[in-house]
Amino acid sequence: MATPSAVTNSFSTPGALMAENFADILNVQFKDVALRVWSQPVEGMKYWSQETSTRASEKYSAVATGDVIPRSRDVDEYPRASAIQGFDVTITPNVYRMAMFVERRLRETDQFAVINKMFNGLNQSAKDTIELYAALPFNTTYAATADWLCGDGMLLVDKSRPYETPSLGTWDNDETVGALTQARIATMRTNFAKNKNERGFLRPLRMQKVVVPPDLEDTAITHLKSVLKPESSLNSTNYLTQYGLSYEVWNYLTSATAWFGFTAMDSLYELKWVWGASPKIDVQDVESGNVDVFGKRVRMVFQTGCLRPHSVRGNAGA
Amino acid sequence: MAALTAARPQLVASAQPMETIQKIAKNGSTWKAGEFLRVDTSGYLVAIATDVFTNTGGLQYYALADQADPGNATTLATVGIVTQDMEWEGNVLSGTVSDANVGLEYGINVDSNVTTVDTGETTNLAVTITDVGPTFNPAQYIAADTVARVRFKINADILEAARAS
Repeated sequence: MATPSAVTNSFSTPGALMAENFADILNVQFKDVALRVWSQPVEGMKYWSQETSTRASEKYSAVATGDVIPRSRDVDEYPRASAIQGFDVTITPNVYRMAMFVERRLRETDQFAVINKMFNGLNQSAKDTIELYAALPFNTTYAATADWLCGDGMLLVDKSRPYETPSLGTWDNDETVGALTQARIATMRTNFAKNKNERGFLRPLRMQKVVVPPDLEDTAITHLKSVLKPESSLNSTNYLTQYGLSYEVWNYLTSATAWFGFTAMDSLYELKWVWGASPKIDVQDVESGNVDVFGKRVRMVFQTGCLRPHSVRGNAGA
Repeated sequence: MAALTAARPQLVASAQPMETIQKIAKNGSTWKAGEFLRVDTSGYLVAIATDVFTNTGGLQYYALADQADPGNATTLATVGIVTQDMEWEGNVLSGTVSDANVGLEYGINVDSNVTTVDTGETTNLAVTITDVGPTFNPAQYIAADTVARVRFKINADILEAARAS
């Protein structure tokens, strides 16, 4: 029979690791006090184009040329081409810092050699922070209130995005709400192919992958990997298998229904993650003000931003 | 909207590591690690209660470990000393918060050994909110959170309050 400890855990957090907080690790009656480390791959960074900056903020914009060439007789003056300026975005990296302190006596009396290893937790904290901020724009794009906006002032996925040419009205990268089905994946793929540029000219994009929360992984496999159409009683070929579409599970997506489509991460992929310092995750000793209280701190400087999110389409799902 | 679960305050910033002191726990009193404490007129440690104020002994200490009823008047408890420069992180008793709450003073509520900032208490002012969750950690907290996360400092007059029974 195993006897549990108190069902409600109770501990204090006085800003430093002290003996009173961690009585277990001073107690030789325990066979083991393990430092629990969860290993997991980094997920969110692959959806961001990373850059490093040494400036307080970075401004990005885009210009575009190209227009339909009119008929014009040689004796006439040349019709003038025009260029257009895109929306700009200013990305100002924020500083993220946290320190961990531990009193000397706790290190000296630690029976299980876990205290020093606890400092490694700062790296894990950095990793968790990165994951949360990488997923944040995707998780808040369907929220009632969201403050993460692209260069055009709209959410990452939005129904009514202004064209850079005002007379063109709006475009969208938000699919008609619906569950992840074969037809809706096909519609998203088609909508990528119908993408238009700043002047309203066709600039087809090729959808490469569907990104889903873990709740939709089974569905994604069914629709993308089945040889025959999974939603039909006919033995017709599953056409989605012919487009080279892959799927990825992003565990940090908080909606169980929302799913996203992505194109290739090329020069047109404008979701930017700007690091403001190097090393990106900086862990160093830190003074506590007391030589017998050891400290380490982690520091990161980063911010995310986006000019024009034509490389991402979303569906809130159902 | 997410309703957060209130947790006992944690120290998130201070100029120096928290210093400790040993004082006698009052016979018959108990508390949980992470609770704020004060001393009664006899100098014994007791947990603070809702609407702590200058005339109820204020608060001066932070419980580092759970305390069972000592059953005597001689048991020493090691507790942390709370100072004015310390910034704490905890929850509000109910409702949401915004940047408009920053800089304002509120009271304290204690329920089931959990101390929260009571934004509805504007008479017995004990703490000053210094930051709100959606601002200091937007990846974890949103404006629609209830029992929202805040950072706060203990008011100086509460820390310096005269002993009370």
